[in-house]
Amino acid sequence: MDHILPLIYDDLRQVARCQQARMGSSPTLQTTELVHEAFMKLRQASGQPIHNRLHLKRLSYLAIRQLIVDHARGKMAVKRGSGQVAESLEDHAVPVADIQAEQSVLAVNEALERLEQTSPELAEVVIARFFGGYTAEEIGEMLGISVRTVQRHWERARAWLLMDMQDNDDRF
Amino acid sequence: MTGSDPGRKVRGGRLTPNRRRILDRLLDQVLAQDEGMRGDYVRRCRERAPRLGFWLERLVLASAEPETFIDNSARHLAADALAARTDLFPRTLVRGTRFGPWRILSRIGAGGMGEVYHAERADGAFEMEVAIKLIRSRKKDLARLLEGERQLMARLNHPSIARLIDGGLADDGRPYLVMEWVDGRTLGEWAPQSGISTERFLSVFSGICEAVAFAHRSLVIHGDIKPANLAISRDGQVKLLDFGVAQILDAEGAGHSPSALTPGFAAPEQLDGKQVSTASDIYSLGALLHWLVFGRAPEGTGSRSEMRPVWAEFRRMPDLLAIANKATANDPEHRYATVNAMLQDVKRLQSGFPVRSRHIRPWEHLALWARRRKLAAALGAIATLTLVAGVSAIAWQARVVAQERDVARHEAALSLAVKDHLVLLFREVSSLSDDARQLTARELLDATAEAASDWLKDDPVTQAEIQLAIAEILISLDDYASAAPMLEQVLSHLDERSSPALAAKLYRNMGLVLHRRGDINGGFEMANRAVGMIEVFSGDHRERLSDALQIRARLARERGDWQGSVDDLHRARNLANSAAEGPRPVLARAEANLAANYVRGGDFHRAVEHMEAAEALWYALGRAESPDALANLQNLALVLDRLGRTEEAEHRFRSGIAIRTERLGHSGALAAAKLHFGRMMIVKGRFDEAEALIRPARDMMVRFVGETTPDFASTEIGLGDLAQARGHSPLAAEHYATAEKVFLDALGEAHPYTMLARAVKLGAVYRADGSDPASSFETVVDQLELAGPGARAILAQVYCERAVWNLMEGHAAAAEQDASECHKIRDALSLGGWRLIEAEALLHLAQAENGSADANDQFEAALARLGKHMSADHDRWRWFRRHGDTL
Repeated sequence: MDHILPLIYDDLRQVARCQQARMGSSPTLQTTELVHEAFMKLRQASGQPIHNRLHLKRLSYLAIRQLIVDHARGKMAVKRGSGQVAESLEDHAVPVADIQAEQSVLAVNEALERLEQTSPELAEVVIARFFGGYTAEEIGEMLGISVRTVQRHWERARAWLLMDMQDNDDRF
Repeated sequence: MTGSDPGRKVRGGRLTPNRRRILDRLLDQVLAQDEGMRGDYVRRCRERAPRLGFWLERLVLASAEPETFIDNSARHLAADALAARTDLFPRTLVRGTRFGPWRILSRIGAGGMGEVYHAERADGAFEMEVAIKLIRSRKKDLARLLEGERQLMARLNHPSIARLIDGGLADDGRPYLVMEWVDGRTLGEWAPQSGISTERFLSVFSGICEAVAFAHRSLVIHGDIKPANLAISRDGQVKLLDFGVAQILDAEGAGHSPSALTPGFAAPEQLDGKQVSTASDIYSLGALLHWLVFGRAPEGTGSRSEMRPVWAEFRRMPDLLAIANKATANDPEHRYATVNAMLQDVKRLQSGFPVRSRHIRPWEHLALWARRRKLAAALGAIATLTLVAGVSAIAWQARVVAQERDVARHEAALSLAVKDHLVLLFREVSSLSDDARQLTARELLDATAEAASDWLKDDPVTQAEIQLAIAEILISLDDYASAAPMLEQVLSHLDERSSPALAAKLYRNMGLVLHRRGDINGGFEMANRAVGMIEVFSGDHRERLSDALQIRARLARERGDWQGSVDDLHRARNLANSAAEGPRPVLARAEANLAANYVRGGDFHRAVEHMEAAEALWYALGRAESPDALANLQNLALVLDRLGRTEEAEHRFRSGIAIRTERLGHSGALAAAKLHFGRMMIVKGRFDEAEALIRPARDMMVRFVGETTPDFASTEIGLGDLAQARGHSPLAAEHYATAEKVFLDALGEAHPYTMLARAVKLGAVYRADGSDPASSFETVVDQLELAGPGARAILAQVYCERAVWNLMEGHAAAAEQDASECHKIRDALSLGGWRLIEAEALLHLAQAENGSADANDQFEAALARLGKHMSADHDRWRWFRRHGDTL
């Protein structure tokens, strides 16, 4: 177990650094927790042994997606007042501007879920790029496809997502 | 709203998954073109397929949109997401801060679950120092939860467990726990110091196990055992900190609370987000034990080089690691069932007893026994007590499980345990004895039986079980002479009706012993009774029946009923097969027995198949060095020799003899191995080596099975062969005559063994004084032909012997016929090596004497080949040479 952790540390450290910059608080605690939480998510998500470093990286962006989407849903629930939240959060009014990013994330996620059903290989590229923040080169390495293919996948996926999202907006 | 595809009846029509896939392919084609060409492509598509074209147009338009939200990664949001979860309370408390009735003294540290402070009682009620744990977690019902846990925790009054004193919600809503303050060092700080002995490490570890076991009895699980949660106080007391804390934190939906699990110490199922359990605590204890030795938690393969130096000299490292490995098994089912079981093993480690988690090897038993013995003033007393304790515990267990459903399986396991364990104790005692004469286990046995009868005079059934168990041990040691009176004693007190299971077992063992003692008919009768009883037992007794059938089959074979024997064995094997899931000792034994039958019946290829099956099963069972597996090894060597694969045979004989001698000491089985190997050496012309093997084999047979047994007679045959090979026919005749007499008394006039001894005696006597064996040979051949397939190999030998005699007498025609018969049979039996070539050489020699043209050359060629298998010093080879030269 221990020998897997250092492998995802690099990826997760980045996230931790962002957080540290934002909060200005002690990095160690959060990094540890972050690693554990992500790790547990990875294990649950995979349900199978982790084969190698690339597999692990792949799982890490799946975990990050989950994390972000869960959080965004939580915030939306606060906004709509329909969810159960901790008291500490209810004390604050949540400014509308603050939740725009979350709203967009959820819209992307929704379109992404549709895309996953018909073109999982396109969806994978979106998750890696949009949630994981990986470059085309890194994605190509992880998925074992050429950079050119990654780019073409992305182009099509982007078209699908944008169309679907517009379509949804139209119907509201 | 999410996930599902809402029906779309816009101008393009419904966007089904199938359509999406087609569109995606079209889109790919459009995007592959230069931007200028794309419009045309889409237009053509709209003309041909308007609905698809509609969607395609929209997709192409979307793809041309300038930068949007999705072009930038949302990864930065992950930080928000985590912050929201984990960093609700980033502030720390400063010295002097009041916290309920407590005042903060200093911040000790921070862990995954929060921050820890050293504090003191501030309301003056009394003086007390505590540790306060501030938990960074949002819990809805934490106060209620804490209350429940505190009540549980209040029961945890144990010197090695830091008490939970108080707990609740702070003013700002943060949950906190107040715990006993331990003035000392954490285990993480303590262990790396030099000067801590392995004994101290182990006693600290047992202390921890005791505390955890105590908590488990009170239904409290620790959930996060690791060096940082253990302390050694200034007065040397080990303390477990944070008891039950992990459980409190976990109680509200696992997976959502980032718990402070420590990989390496947390069990795999905990990392999977499952609830903590006693099994996960056991895992953590195992990891901790590993950490105490290596300074780190286990991770697959551990390198010894990183051990803390003090452990370098620790002699029982394999045992210690076996405990740690068992405790840290991935599957909770494979771990110790309780902390107590683990603690028992650790204590055994501390006191020099074998550890249960490890399949200990015999010589290690010996070493341990010897070491313990130095501590004890009176060996005899200890040996006896250990034995009686062991046996009665087993007997008692046997009676308890007898009420359970799968009696047979339990008993098989139990009797294996008794045997494996106690066989060695007996051996140890006899090998450690000062008496130059190697002791049988008899003296120990007598003392044990005496003690048992004294203790158990009111419990005759248990007493009988013990005597039976001891007899079984003696049987497995091949000490049938000692087992017999023991069994007879049980038999004399037996009430067949009140204890049918015991009676069946007794008859089975009697059958075995009588067999070995040479009473074939008596043995068969006993085995038959056992089979008869087990067949009418209610319930599933397939393994037991299989076992009894195998014994009866061996006896049937000895009686010359080869077919009955094979029938029993096939039935036994099928029973064992159907009763067992995976490898089972009874199945391995069934294979070996079947193989033995084929050996006797002369079908060596089949025999080898079954022997290899048995060998594989014993390996799979991890019992490749058990007496039964060794017997199989020996038989395999024997068959390989017969097939002419002498090198493989020699190798197996050597290793089998070495293992037996080293781990099990002298026995009838060792004698048999030495005899067979010695006979191989005779053929090789290594007469002194052969003598050094066969003589002790004979003496051992006398001691272990007695002078009236077929096994003993076999050694006399071996000595006769040796004398004959050296050219001492009169001496050979004497040995053969002894063998013949014993066979005759034990097996009867018509038995193949008796016939074989007689035939070789006739040859030797003839060579010694020239007396005419003709009519006797005639009878022997007739008898052997009647005896059926089991006697074919012997018949061949007799034909060859008679061919030699015929050649010497100048009866070339008869010699050719005999040699031809011998060759035919040996060939049909797949006998190889010297056996087949000897027959060939005899045949060509006789043919040459009969005037056949090429026979002389063929004889010379055969003799040259024989020279590769048989030494030129061997009497038979020299005879060939002399006789060939007279042609």
